[in-house]
Amino acid sequence: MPSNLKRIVKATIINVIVALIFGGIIVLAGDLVAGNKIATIVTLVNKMAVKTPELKQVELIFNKEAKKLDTYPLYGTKYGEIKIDSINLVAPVYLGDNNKILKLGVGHYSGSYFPGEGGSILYAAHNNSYFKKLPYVVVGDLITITTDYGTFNYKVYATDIIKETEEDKLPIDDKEEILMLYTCYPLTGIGHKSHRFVVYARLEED
Amino acid sequence: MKKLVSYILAFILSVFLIVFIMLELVGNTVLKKEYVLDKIEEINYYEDMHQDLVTEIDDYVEQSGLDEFNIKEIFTEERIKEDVNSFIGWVYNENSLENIKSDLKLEIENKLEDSNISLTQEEKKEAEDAINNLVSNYATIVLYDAFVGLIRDIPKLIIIVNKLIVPAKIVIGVCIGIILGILLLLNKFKGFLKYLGVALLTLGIILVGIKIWFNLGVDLANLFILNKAISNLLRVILNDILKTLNFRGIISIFGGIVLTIISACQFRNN
Repeated sequence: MPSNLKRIVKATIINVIVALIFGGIIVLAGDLVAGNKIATIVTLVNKMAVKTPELKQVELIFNKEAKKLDTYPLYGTKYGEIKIDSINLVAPVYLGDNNKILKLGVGHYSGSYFPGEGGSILYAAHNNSYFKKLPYVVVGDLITITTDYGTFNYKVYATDIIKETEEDKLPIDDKEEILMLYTCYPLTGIGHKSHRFVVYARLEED
Repeated sequence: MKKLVSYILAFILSVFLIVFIMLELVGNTVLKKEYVLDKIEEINYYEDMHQDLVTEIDDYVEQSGLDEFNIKEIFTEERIKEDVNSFIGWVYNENSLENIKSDLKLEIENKLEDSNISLTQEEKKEAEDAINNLVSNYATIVLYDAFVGLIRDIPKLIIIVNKLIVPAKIVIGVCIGIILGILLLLNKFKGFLKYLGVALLTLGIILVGIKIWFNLGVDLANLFILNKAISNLLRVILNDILKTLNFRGIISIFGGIVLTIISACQFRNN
């Protein structure tokens, strides 16, 4: 290698090494002075990062012996359909009951059981959309829930108007398969709706 | 001894250069209202905010019965643009936000009156509560009202920083000039370029290093603060700053290497 080039390469390498050392000193100094604060801010920012999971349809497999689903749908996905002939209602059923879901269809409270599991199931919808005719459901009406893993028929045995705080009137347990549908009540008028109209239906065993 | 002093001066020079670049960057980005407004236009901020607002109040308006009065017509994208610009103006100390909520409340109340739908006394009270909640929701989303305790001091901070930034840049500029002068005196032109090269290399390594560290350590792509609109705005501003830092860093590294090569060639000629 010509001596000029050797000198140039040597000078460049020395300068780069010195610059890296200087850079390291600056970083170290910065870390000593504000390292904890920066780490806290970075942790906070990363905690606020929201990775929206892709909503896939999960194949629902029902275990007839155990009377339980082996696989459950993802929150926010549609898994069935509800039909009430007496009020001409046909609507999709989604797992979850947030505002976004209630715009799309009937929401299944994720803390309740699924059709066929032998426990109580809680569905909600808005009184100005899918459940606007719910107060016209009467005792004896049939409700059908259709899913990929089966079709379930329920017969209405009671309706009630409860306060929004009376959660004990929407019991979630595994004593009996009861389907409860509810919506805000009254349907009209201005202001906050402090009551709920509830329909109670029992599973019709085939 | 002369070499050691020169390297120390090169180190101090690189620190001053880093601070100068940061001050200049901050002064031309987040401290400038026009820059923030440009970025807001770039990312469809008003549209995203309008969508967020409509989603938030939609159910409330319908469930509370106010939809009969076509209240949703009041919440247009133009209104949001005007109010967001007022909010930005407040952050940069150009106006106050006092009338935004009261004007909105008055407009909603007028809408109810114009509808000629008669309400009972109880319904009037319910309507007033519903309107107050609606205005409060609007202010929380568009004006970040719920965080007024946290952001109240930002306008004052911006005034102070803006006042200090130019004198700080002048002082640092003078210090840089002094150091360059001392380096030139100590080394003549031979070594001056070499030590300046070291300073520029250090500057470049730090600037590029900041960008790399940020990309590796901070999940900027999925950042979510409060709502989609503000998250997008913060993301685009941070990306812009990082891009500028990276570009200046690469130029500095290139400049440092070029000066090092030239200084080495200078030695050869002597």
